[in-house]
Amino acid sequence: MIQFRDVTLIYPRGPGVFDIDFYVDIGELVFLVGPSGAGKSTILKLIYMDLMPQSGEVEVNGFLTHRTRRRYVPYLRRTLGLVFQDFRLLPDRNAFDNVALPLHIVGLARHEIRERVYSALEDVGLGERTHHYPRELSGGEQQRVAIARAIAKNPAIILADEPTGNLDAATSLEILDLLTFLAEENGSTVIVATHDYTLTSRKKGRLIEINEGRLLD
Amino acid sequence: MINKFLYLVTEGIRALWRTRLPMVGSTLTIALTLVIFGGAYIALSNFDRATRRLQTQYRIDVFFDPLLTNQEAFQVYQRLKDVEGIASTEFISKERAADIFEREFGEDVMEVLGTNPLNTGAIVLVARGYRTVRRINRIADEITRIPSVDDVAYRGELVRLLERYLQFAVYSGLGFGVVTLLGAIFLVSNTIKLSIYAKREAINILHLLGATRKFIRFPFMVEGTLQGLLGSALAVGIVVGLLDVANYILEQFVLYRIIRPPYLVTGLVIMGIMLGSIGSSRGIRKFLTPRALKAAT
Ligand SMILES: Nc1ncnc2c1ncn2[C@@H]1O[C@H](COP(=O)(O)OP(=O)(O)OP(=O)(O)O)[C@@H](O)[C@H]1O
Ligand SMILES: [Mg+2]
Repeated sequence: MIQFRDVTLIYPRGPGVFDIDFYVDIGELVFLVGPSGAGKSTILKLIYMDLMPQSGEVEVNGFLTHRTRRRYVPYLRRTLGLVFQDFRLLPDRNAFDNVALPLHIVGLARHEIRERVYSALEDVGLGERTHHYPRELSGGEQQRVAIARAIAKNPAIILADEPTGNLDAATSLEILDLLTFLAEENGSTVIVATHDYTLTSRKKGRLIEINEGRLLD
Repeated sequence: MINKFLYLVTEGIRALWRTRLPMVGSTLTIALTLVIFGGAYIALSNFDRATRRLQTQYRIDVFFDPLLTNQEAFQVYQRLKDVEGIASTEFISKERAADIFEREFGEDVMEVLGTNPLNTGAIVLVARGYRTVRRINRIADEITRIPSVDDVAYRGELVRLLERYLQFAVYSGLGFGVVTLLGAIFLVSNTIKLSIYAKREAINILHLLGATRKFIRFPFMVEGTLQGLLGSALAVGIVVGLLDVANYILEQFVLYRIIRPPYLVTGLVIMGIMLGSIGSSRGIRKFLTPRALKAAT
């Protein structure tokens, strides 16, 4: 569950987002679309509380921005699965260890971690590639590892910031299908930020459009 | 929970391996620091023990005119009590002198010479506040000036001088030790800094995945503490090894063994761990901040 209430954030040097007000329900699929520089990443950062609003408030899974101290932000993030354009995998760890990382952070037992990692890698079709390092995987495969990492902890919400930005058209569709399929299976809310309108037409999800820091209705 | 702990310890060891070159420098500096402090501790405690045994260094043997009878000698002995800086005195009659002679040389003078030519005299122990070369000299001079005192003998001077040199060596060694100690802390925090910078992307990712500050810091603490532990292991090896070698050599010549003072090994290990953890927490405090990480990119 995500709620923005009249959120404004202005960067010290430059624009930001203004009077953002929207609600995303549990299990929804939402496309956050808009041209480059519109403020999509900014909104996602507000959701995972990398940024805090200057006015208004954001509520995510019961965490309220104005009541959540910095040191509790990690606990919010454990309820989220994040996927980025540049994958953000640890280059010196293989697929298995990358997917295991958030589970170690949560502090699961060893055997539980093994089980979940293998099943997550299986789910994204990389059951045979568990011991490959990121440099030994294609861009699409790396993004699958990142998706496996995001879903392994059964997050309530998955946030994907241009998840297909570095991939060709065919692979992009595969990745999007995978992401939405797994999220649906899991009952997770999904927000995909993208400037690629063709992508959004492929899936029936809600569109939230943004331009120059403001939502369009 | 236990799994999380093991995971983070492993992370620390990996990090240590990655920065192994600067790590060698900091580990050696820790070892050097500990060898200096361990050596000083051994030197001081051995000297302390040696001087406690060699009470004689604060003892002045006083010999009276050999022509004095016991009774006359005792009169002279009484005058010793007026001398300032004396802790205790013991009267040595002709008979007592013969006893001492027999104990030391295994011969009875009366049997050998048929007469007792030994001097009467006294044994004087210098009071605590007067145990410096100058003061003992002054006391000895004053005793010599008493009529009928023939001679005084004391060995304080040599021991005292030795003690002075040793103290000088130990304290300048410790001064140098403080410098290497600061250097060790600096070098450990430097390896931590390198390690943090090398992993700044990973630190970023960890933050995004919901890692707490503790989780992120812990491996760096392990990394620094391990450097301390390695350094202390090295230092213990060196100190204990040198001690054995020194004792082996001493054994060939004299009947003196350098003792290993209590808690030497424990002390070195604890000090090593402390150096390592102080160094790593300094590194973390200075370089694992959002601002420092941003400045590095
Ligand atoms: N740290 C920052 N400091 C100042 N301005 C920033 C900062 N981050 C982003 N901006 C500006 O805020 C606006 C919105 O940025 P944001 O990254 O949210 O856009 P976006 O919609 O994600 O764009 P893209 O599709 O290119 O990723 C842009 O004009 C950008 O230049
Ligand atoms: Mg963006």
